[in-house]
Amino acid sequence: MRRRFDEHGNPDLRGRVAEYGDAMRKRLRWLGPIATGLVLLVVILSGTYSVDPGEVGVVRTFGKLSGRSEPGLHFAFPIVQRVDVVDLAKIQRLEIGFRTEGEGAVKMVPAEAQMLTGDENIVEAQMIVQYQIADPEKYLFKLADPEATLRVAAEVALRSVVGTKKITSSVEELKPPQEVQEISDAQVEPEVPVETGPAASASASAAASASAAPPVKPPPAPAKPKPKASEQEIDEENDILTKGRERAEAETKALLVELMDLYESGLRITEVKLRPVDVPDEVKDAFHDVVRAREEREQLINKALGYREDRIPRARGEAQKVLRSAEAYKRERVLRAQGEAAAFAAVLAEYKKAKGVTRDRLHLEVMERILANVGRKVFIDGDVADKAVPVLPLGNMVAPGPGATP
Amino acid sequence: MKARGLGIAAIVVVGLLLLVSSVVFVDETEYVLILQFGEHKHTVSEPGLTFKVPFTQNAIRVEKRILASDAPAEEYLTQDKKRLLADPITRWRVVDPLKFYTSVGNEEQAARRIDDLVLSELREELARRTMSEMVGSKRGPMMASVTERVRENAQSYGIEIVDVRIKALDLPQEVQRSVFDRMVAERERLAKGYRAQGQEESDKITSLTDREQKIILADATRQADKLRGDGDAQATKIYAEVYGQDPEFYTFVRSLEAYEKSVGKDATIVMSTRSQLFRYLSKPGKPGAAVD
Repeated sequence: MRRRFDEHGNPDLRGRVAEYGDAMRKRLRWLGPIATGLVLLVVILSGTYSVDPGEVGVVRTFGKLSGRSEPGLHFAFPIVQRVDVVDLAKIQRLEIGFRTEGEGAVKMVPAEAQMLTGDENIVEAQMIVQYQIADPEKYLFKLADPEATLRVAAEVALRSVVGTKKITSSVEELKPPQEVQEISDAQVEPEVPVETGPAASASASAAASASAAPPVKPPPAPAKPKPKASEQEIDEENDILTKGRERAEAETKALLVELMDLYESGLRITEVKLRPVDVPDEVKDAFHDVVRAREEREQLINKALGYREDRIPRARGEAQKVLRSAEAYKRERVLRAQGEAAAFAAVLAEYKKAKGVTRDRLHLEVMERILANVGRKVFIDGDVADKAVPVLPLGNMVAPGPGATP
Repeated sequence: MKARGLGIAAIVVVGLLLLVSSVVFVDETEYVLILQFGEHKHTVSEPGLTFKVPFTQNAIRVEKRILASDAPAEEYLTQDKKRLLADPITRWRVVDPLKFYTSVGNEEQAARRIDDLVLSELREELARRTMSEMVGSKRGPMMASVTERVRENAQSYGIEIVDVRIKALDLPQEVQRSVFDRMVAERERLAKGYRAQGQEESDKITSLTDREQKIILADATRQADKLRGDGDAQATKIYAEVYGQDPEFYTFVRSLEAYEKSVGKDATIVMSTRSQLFRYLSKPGKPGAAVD
């Protein structure tokens, strides 16, 4: 720019100002549209938003719900419109009673986890709730802070349900193994009918009225265990520590869903997972001891069953031995009788043909054998015998008597 | 030209101010009360655009959504004189914004009033219930009746009570100790029970086994005796049948047999020569003499 001076040699300020004004005006002619463009750009940029797949944009115009926007790029007027983009697909997770601290490490929160059961015991329950936003309008407009509400409602539901549950406090009725049942049934069987002689039965009939009564006793026994079993079943299903957990889970979910619907949360509870319920550390040892005691019970029973396994087959073997030997005796006895009978019959048949001769022969043969075997024989003549026999020195027969030679 | 520019600017500014002060956006989540110098003019419950007289009227926003009021946990005495720590939570919403605004003013105040109501109702209800009722299955109905009564009382604040729930129900620290002691004692009882049951069952099985064993053996002995008896009987029958054909001959044969068996080597036989055997020793007889 050239330096210009007025007639006094002073710089031409006025002219320069006017000139500057002109230049400014010239520039501003451009500036106007540029500014407008910039403002527009800002408006467009600040009003543009995108909705990702699985999300939905809820648009409020002047505060009133005016529509939803589907996934894609959208525009909303700043100030007059408000858009909340809500993720409908994402399943979110809420932990009750514990917190996951990276790498799968889980830390229990006792204040949240410990709760009372219906029988005034204290247990530790932990739960995972999975949920997603199902109704974005309700989620945004009906309930202040739905997530916090869900957490509290989940605690309420869990504690209410656990409050109706119990932990087993009675010794579980033993469900005996099949074998034990069979043994117990078998004990009726051995009442073997023993053939009693007429004398015995006569005396028995006298006492019949007294002895007949006991055998009728068994029938009332099977009726008793029935109600006991069903009662126990209910107990077991209410046992929050064991079988009752699944039911508690379902009940908690139902109650939580009911609460969240009541609060118009717009949340859908997809899953409620109750982690294994435990007891506080203070009493854990005692609970473990019960488990051990149950195992010991099983052990004792198994040992007894083992004893049985050992004894009964042995007894059966023994019984077989006794029986077989008796059978052998019987068989032997009969066979021998048959043999002897056959021999006798044969001899008899021959004897019948010649009675006298046979008889003499048999007699003589036997006598011959006897006399041949006997070491000492004394023969007394018939006439002497009548007088001599009474005085024979029977005690000392070594000295030969009179007529000792045949 | 400058003045004109300023004028336009001023008009724009004033216009904007008027616009801002006369236009009200009513959100989905709120009611708006239009007041003129504190005097209620009208209530807007429909969301959207609404207008008011600028400067003289103002808009009061009142929350429409369901709100929570978390009363502090307090110790209560149940009917059976047990102490319980209960932490209630109340959900409520404004249904009559004007009543709400005039009677309680804002949410904090409202929450305080509601908590007072809940605590007193809860105290009353708990004093009528036993601990086990409270903890257990009666909790739902009890809280429903508490809700009902709080709801009635809260109506005058323009508030609707959605529900009153027990967030946490615990025992005071000192009582917890005794509960743990009781739980331990209970488990000890169970453990003893199981052990005794095992012993009982074991003894039962063992004794039944012993019994069965004896029965098996006795039964076998009985059958064995019967078998032996049968054998003897059959043998006897066989003998009787065959010997019965000629009893005299049998006696004869059997006697001979017996003689032979009973007379041993050491025996001394004194015989008369007149005996049958030796009758030929002295003289020969006639044929057929031996026949009886």
